[in-house]
Formats: sequence, C-alpha cells, structure tokens
Amino acid sequence: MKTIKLPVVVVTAGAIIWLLPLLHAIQISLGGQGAANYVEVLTQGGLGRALLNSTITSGASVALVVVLGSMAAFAISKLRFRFSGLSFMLILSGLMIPIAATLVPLFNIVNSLGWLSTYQGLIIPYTAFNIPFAVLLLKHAYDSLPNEYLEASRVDGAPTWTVFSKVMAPLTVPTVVMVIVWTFLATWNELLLALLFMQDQVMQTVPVIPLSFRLAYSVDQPKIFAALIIIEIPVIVLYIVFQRWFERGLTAGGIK
Amino acid sequence: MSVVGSRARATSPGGTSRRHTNPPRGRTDTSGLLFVAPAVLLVGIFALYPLAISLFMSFMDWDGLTGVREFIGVANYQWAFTDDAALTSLRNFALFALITIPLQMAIGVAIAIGLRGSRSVGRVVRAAYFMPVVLAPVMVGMVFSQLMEASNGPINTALRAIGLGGIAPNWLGDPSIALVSVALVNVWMWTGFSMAIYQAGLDSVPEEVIEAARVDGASGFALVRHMFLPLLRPSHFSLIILGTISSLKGFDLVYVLTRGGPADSSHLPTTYMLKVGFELFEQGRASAVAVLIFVIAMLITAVQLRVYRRRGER
Repeated sequence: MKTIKLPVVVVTAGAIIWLLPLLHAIQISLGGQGAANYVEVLTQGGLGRALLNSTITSGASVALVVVLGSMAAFAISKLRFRFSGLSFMLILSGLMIPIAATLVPLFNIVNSLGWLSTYQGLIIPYTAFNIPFAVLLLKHAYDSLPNEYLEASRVDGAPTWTVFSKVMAPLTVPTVVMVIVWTFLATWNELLLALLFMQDQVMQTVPVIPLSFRLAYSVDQPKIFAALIIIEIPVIVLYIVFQRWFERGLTAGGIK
Repeated sequence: MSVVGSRARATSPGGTSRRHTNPPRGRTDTSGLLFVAPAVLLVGIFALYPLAISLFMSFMDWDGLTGVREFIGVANYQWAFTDDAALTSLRNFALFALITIPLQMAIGVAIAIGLRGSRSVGRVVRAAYFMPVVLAPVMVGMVFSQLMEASNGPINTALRAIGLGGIAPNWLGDPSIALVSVALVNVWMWTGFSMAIYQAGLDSVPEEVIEAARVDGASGFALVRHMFLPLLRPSHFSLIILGTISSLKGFDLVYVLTRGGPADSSHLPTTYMLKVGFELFEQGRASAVAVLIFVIAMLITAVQLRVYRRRGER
C-alpha cells in the first residue's frame, strides 16, 4: 500500500542474522589454506567416495520409494481387491514407528542378511521407512484422478499395469516430484542407520564423514567445515531449484 | 527430526477438490495384491517385524552379544521408570518440546505474517529462513558446537565484547543448560518449517476477508490477533503435533552436540536408548525404552487422529 512496510524490513534484517551461522561456517572453511581446503578434503579425506556412496544409496532409495510407493498408492486408490484396506493400514502404521524403536532388531536383520557395509543394507531400510509417507501423498494424488480413466482403458482391453504406467502414473508427476525431493533429503542427511550399518570406512555415506573427520583432523577446523559445506551443496542446490515444491510438500499431505 | 518423521502433514483451511476415494465398482482385481505387495513386505519386514522383536526383547535380560537370554518379566520397564538417566531423558523430551514448539511457532508466524503480500522480497527472505531445514543435522550440530564453544566460541566472544561476559554460559558443557542449548539450535533449524506451514495457511485466506476486516477498521496487531491467529488454527495444531513427534524422535542434534552429556543430563529417549543398548550392552533395557518411545508416539498420533476427525465432523 504505502512505501516500504516496517514488518518486511524487520523480517529481512532477521533473515540476515539467521544466516550468520552459515556464513560463519563458510568463513571458517576458507581459513588456513583457503580454497585449497576443499580440494584436499575431496581428494584425501575419503569424501569423494562418500559422495558416490550417498549418491547411490539416496538415488536407489528414491527410485524404489517412487516406483513401489506409486504402485501401492494406485492399487489402494483405484483397484478393488481383498485386503486393500488392511494393506493401506499396514503401510501407514510405518509412519508411527520411529527408526530408533526398531534399531537393535533391524541391525540384527541386516547383519544376518550379510548386508552390513553394503549398499542394499541402507537402501532397503531407507525405502521401508520412507514409503509410508510417499504412499500417503501419492494416494491423495490418485484419489483426485477420475475413475473413468481406468474404466475406459479397461474397455479397450489394456492390462492393469499398462493403465497404471502409461495413463495414471504420468498424471501424478507433481506429487512424484515432491516425493523425490523429500525422500532425497531424508536419505541424504540420515545419520543413525548410516552410522551403525556402514562399518567399513570405504562404504560410509556423507553425514558420517564429518564425525570421523572430527577425530582425524580435530585441530584442523577449516577442513572439517569445508567437508560440511561440500556435502550440503547438493541439498542446497536441490532446495533452490525446487523451492516451490518443498513448500507445497508441506501442505499436500493434508489429512482432510 | 530430519529423521524420517519430520516431514509434514498439515492441513490448510479451505481448498477441497473433488475426490474419487472409492475404487470403481465391478470385478475385483487380484493384481491389486501384486501392486501393494512390495510396499507391504518392506514395511512389514523392516519396520513392523523389528518393532515386534523389540517388544519381545523388552521382557528379556540380554547383552546383545551372546545368545544367552533370560525372561525377566517387566523388570526392564521397572528399571526404565526408576533409572535416573532414563527418567531424565523422558523429562528432557517434554522440556525439549516445551521450549522448541512455542518458539518455532511464534517466530514462524511472525515471519509469515510480516512477509504477507510481498512477493519478490518475500521469496528470497523466506528461502533464507527455510535453508536450515534442508541441512543435515550433522552439519548444523557441528557448526553450533563451534559457535557455542565456551571459551573462544563466537557467541561468547560477542557477549563479552558487549559487556555481558558475566552471563556468557558454558552452553554445551553445563549440565543445567546443555539441553536448553540443543533446543535453541533446534529452533534455529526448524523455525523456517513453521514459517512455511503458516505461509501456506495464510495463502488460503481469501484477500477479500482481510480487506473486509480492514474496512471495519481493524489494523496492525488487532488484525493479527483477531483474524490471522484464529484463522491459522489448523496450522497451529499441525505444528504442535509434528513438533511433539519430532522431539520424541529427536536424535541427531543431541548426538552431535552433547552425546547426551555432560553426566547424562541432555539425553533424549532415543540417544539414551542407544547408549544403553550399544555402550552399556543392555539390549533388553534398550528395547524397553524403544517400546516406550513407540507407545508415546502412538498416543500422540491417536490424539491427532481424534482431533482431525472431530474437525471433520463440524
């Protein structure tokens, strides 16, 4: 209405203060040898391999969550079959289970499968713990698609899988993007299972690296902070590109 | 937080679209089972089954290393309700929720209302506040352990520079305030999340409603108090529930900042469970703590569902 509003000025000033800890982290990371810190942690600290490990575990978890979650959500929303309601309840009950509450038995299961320090040892549990939220979001998306699509394709004689993959799933892309973004974030940053299951140093994912750096380089703060910033670059880029989707993801799961 | 649970489910007022919640009539489709099977099996094997095992183990005396287990009834639960550190971790959960939730809501709603209507500036400023939400708790924890360092940390250095050196606390090293310090870091990390929820809630308030109130002479704080805050009730509710559950699941920040110390003063139930199970090798007791965490999470969810349902009836 008028010129610049006072609340906007106050909130903007607050935002600068809010970012000070991050700016401080960047400043520390450039201490000592400056940008050479980044080169050194990338080439010598095992960080390069950890980035690869995290890319594989997060990438595979995201793919599995999207595909298996979409299949389940489609069936629960659009197909009639026995145990449909029970399946939905079972999947949703996963939302209430904190990973921590399953830790010891989960560790034993992964161990007895011989999956400690393997990619699948993280990918499969990550998928299991992220699928419930994905199914919840995706079922809402399928619920809003008209049933007629399915019936029309049925009349044409298309198999259910084709209806799902060619007709229905492409219509849920906005929700799928949200699921991708949030699942990537959750798996990339996950610490608890990563710490316990990846005991072989070569297999460690990025959140564990700074902790081991803290032991190895305890006095070399700049290197630790350079590593921290490198591992956060992918999520920050993801956030900047998908800002709208992140924020929409907050409200989309709305239980009406 | 971070943790798998801190993704949000929030309702925004209004905005219902047509839903096709009932599957089409006609023949049943057995292929449906094949579609849901992978998801059901994964959740069953890697979440529900371990939970059942935890329940079973919570009645055992077991170190987790040997195969020797002994059934000891509810002794592990008796221990959980008498052990000082276990009780502290439960109290800390409540304290953590009581500090973080109101602060995150108050600051979040102030930012959202303050930026209302400013599109371009608002987008950038909101991104700044939201940024910590996407960061790894490891990153946040390590940055703040440096910032909060007692003798040379930038925060205490700044306090001394403005003559407040007398109150510069040992943020993470003093048992009486370590948990509060962790909670403040949590506020820094998650306020942007509250802001985004409120922002979405505000977006669904029709502009005419606000204009009408303005014409009636409402402005400034009156508008906020009598109009925005009541209209945002669904957002308040979502944030209280989500905040409570994430305080319960909270693990990473405590683990990185204090490891539950000093002297077990800043444990949350999850970090203490980890210590009991993997450092003290009392898997039976750790399982009892795990079951208690799950039961509390269920109670919170039950309250949540009941309130949602009641709102649906109105």
